[in-house]
Amino acid sequence: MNFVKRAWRYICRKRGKTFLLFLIFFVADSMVFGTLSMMESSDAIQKEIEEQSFAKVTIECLDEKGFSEEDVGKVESLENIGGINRLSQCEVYPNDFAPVAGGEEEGGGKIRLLGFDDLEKDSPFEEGRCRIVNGDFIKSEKQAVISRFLAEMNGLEIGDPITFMDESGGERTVEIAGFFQTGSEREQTDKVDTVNRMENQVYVNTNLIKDIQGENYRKFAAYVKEPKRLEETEEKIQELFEERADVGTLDTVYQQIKFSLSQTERIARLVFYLTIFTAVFITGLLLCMWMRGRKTEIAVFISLGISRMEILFQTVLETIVVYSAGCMISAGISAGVMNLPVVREAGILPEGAKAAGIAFSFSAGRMLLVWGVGSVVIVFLAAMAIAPCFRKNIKEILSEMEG
Amino acid sequence: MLEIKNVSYYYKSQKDKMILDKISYKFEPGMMYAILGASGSGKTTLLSLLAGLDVPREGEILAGGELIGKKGLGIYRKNMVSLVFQNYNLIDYLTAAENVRLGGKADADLLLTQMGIDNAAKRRNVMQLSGGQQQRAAIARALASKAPILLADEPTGNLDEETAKDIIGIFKDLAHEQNKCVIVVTHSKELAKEADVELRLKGGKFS
Repeated sequence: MNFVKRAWRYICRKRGKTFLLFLIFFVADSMVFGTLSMMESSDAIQKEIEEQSFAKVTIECLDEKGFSEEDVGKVESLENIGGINRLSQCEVYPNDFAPVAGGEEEGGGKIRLLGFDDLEKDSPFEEGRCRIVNGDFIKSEKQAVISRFLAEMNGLEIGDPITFMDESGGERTVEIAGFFQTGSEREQTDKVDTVNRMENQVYVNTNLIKDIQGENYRKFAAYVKEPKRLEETEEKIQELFEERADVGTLDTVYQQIKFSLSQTERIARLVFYLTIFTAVFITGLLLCMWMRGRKTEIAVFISLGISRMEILFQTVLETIVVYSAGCMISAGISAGVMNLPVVREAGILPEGAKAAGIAFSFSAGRMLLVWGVGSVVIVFLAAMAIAPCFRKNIKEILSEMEG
Repeated sequence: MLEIKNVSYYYKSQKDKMILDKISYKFEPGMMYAILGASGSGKTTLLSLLAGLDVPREGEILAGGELIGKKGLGIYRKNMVSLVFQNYNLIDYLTAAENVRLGGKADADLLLTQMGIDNAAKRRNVMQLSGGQQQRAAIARALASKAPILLADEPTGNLDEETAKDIIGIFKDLAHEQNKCVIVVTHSKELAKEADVELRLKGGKFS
């Protein structure tokens, strides 16, 4: 009878002991899967929070040419860059509306278009100098946010089209998405030129300005994925542009949350390592007790001429089979339980994480990894547990039985 | 066949008390030997040494003219000896037939039938058999091996008189008809009388 048959018969017929072993593996694996899931979720949340801290490198062009699309592309292709916000501006003539008149005697009548990829960032709106008082931010290239006072003066409403003309006579029409107000419009003196008046600033998408004056960005912001590597990214960008650009960084929010984030990460890892240690310790102890109870069986096998290696294979096979069952069932149950609506809604994950679409994930790859690493540990523990039985004198073991 | 030369044995904790004291003997094939002696006289220790379960402190044991440990005690145990233990030492998660198959490739069903175990009992877990049936299953396991040496420790200790006689008969047949060397450790005078040679251990020596 070979070791495979013996192992199978042991598992099937020693149901109580097998079930106890299975239960330990099941609990240990559930703990590992649970903490692994939490640790990964914690990592994902941390990354999400880091990205949401909007740490950035600001790049301002020092020459007249401005940045080209290629320059921006070079920065965007850097490993740590998560997003770009191009800033540009140009002056145009309004076609079907009148600007708020400025202090110049002649040559007035122009308004300024301020272009952003994302108007909510890197703009006076982010800094709080401007706020939307009606409507919304621009959502497309064919939209604009104009001053409330400019709109009132021209009788414009949200959704109305406005047209302006560039230096070459080309016309562009956009739809009003929202009205803004700075609150300091009335503080301007009458001497301020038309184009510089707050009321005559029109916020549009950068691509519209690119359409008018070509690739010429005076400034852009590069948002980083990992704020902890902000300085390294800044250096790389500085190397790209050398003297052409003034490169700076801004990570105020990240600096404020950095300590809390690293604490959370440390705690998650500590819990994970403690769980692994506890699981290995308990499993090791149980296997030692299990083997101790089987020393007579082992001695009998040896006395019958069965090699120690074959006995080791038998016990390893039994342990691996039971471990695999425990691992698979705990993985299945963990995946099921963690995705239950009641658990998802139990408030274990923070609101921010839910909003970002982060959930307790469960992949076949992770299960295989836990099974693989766990199996190696189990083989090692089983070998360690059986070693004292192999070392002990067979006659002495059999004599113990005979009393 | 099996020879012991100046074999001594003592427990490491009691070095001054010799269990076996420089004993020598040559066991021949086709013979049945009975080793007798009072409790603690070293009978089971001698059997363990002959079985390769332990090694003598001094002296040597040869099988077929070769030291038994020369090719490894595992190989010696597998090919040269079969054992019947005093307390059966059956594997508790196997049936009687499966236990017999552990001993060798012989027909387990036939051996168990020869031992008087019925078909239903053969398929039952060995722990569900009576003491006598377990003893017979343990003997059947030893007989399943083609090893030329059979070592038995109190093989009839738990058997009724009639079954004990049957077992003794089987041992004699194994020695005389199959030319095996059968060495039995026993307290039973009946069994000893049936043996071809009676050896008595006293004070660590054969008397």
